[in-house]
Amino acid sequence: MAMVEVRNLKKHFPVKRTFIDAMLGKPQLYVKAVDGVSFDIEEGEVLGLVGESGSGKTTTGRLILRLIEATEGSVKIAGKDVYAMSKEEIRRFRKEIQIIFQDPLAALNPYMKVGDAIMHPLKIHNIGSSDKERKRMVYRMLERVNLTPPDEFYMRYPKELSGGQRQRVVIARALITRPKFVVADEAVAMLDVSIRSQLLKLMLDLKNEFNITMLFITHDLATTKYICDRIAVMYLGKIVEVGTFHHIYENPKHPYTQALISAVPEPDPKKKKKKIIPQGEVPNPINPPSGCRFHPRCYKVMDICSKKEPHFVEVEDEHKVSCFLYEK
Amino acid sequence: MLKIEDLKIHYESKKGLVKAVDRVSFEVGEQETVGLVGESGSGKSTLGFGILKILPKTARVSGKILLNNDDLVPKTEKEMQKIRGKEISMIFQDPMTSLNPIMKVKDHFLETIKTHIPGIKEEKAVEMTENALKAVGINPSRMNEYPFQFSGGMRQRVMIALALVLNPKLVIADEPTTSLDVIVQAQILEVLKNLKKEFKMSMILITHDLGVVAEMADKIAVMYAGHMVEFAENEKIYYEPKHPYTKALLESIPNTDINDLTLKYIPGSPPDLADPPKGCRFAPRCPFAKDICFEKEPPVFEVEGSKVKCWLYKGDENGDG
Repeated sequence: MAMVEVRNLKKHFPVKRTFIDAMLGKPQLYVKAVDGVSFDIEEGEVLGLVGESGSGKTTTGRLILRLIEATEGSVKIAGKDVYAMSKEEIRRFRKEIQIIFQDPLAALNPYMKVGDAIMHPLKIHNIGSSDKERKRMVYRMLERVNLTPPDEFYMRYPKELSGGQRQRVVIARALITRPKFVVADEAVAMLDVSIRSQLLKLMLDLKNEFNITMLFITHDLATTKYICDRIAVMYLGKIVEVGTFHHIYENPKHPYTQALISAVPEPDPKKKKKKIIPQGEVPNPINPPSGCRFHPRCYKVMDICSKKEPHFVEVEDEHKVSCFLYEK
Repeated sequence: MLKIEDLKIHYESKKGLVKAVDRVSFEVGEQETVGLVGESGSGKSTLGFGILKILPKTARVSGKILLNNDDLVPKTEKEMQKIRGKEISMIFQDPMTSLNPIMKVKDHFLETIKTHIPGIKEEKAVEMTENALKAVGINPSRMNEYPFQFSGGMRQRVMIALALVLNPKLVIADEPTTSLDVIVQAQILEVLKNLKKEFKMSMILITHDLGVVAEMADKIAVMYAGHMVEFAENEKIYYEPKHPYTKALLESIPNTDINDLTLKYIPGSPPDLADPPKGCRFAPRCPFAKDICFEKEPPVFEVEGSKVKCWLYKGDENGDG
């Protein structure tokens, strides 16, 4: 059994309607942010969820943790149905499922000492018998994320730390309850390149040490290679391709994945890649294109693409793509 | 055409003098693109803004900024206004905050044009606007719309058109694609490349992304903690990096070689610019640091055509080492 099972997950946000629009009987419109997403994550596995702004990757992460309610679909984590739980049950279950946010300055309370912030989840979940013991646990965690000496860092406020140090605090706070499953939402995106790799290394080490299952959400394909076992590519609320890093990088099948990879600027002046850059921008998710959502921008578009939605086809072992080019 | 000599930009602050840019020298030739690369706090944006003298009041500028042998440093604000937009213009990172939200796109252009060409006929100014928008791939009929009606990528195109409408000799682009998605970024870079050729202009491209400059720049200047640590031709930076920081920075970029799974990084973090290390500012993080590196700031050595601010190259000048 997979650690995380996501089935046909949907989130349709209602678009604000004015009173007059409602009186005139104008239909309620929805932003289909996530529109039928399914995948499994095995125990100890890291699945990368890659996509551009508006692809629905962040919403998917939040839906899985039930930080927002799904419109449709189901999520099972460690065999437990997240959407069948009561408010109280999910609150208690949060010990096992955590999130690492992108912007540590926004995720940390500016008036809370770093040590208290990391201790907070322990108190909420009644872990540890006394404050003294909890403090010891926080010290150990501070040391583990290389914020040493821990007694000094314990007393600091977020603004007294650098960006990389703050993100270490966010990681420490997410992992102190020893969760089974963690969603990392653009966890290293805001950091400079020399710091980014330090943090990736730390996350990778901790993941192995604590045997964490992870959903690693990012817009940056290149970082996925170090930490992800498999990658899912999202476009406009749907997953279009899933595979290992090798599959996605060396043998991308979906024209969107191909475009995404060819658009990454290569830090090597002689490697002039042939670029497949689709025209225009991601369409409005209120009224997404019919059939395959990528068809208006696709360089290999066929007649069928605007008429029917493609199904997932397994092109090689563990490599699936949702595109008519590969349907037989 | 642009020559920067011994430029210092220091800020007064509560903590003392912040040496955001310290003794930087470089040149930009005709139709040349120079990439200014560095991490947050390296001083790359300060340097870019400093060239146009759009800096906070607490900034103190010394040294020389020679635009066709005319020094901009002693110029008054009024004189600078004539230069900005016309001789040198700027493309900002975030077009939403640099375009006026309650002004139509067209009015942004007309304001710029009329400021620099007083008495220009309305039709002529509108025609110039149309041409500029066409050049960046925007239908000129959209000029009557407001900035919020454009998507992020389109807004950045508007910014670029606005920077080019007076056909400046030099454009300073400050992280022009950083807030954009990777596919839109590729579209915008394509636009910039074509315009550079068409308008025969020079460019300073400020970015933290070594991938972007690899595609765009002829020469690259690497900044670290307010110092320019290396300045060389594009390919030299990538294939024969000299400064230990440049080397480490290149190694820490996630590459796309799937067989290379080692994560490399630079230990530590950049120094506080209010109290920078006495010698080389990279010395505390440098694996090759010697005693002298902690004591004396290195001069710029010329090694095999590259300019390197590093003690390792003392005695190596002109490539004899």
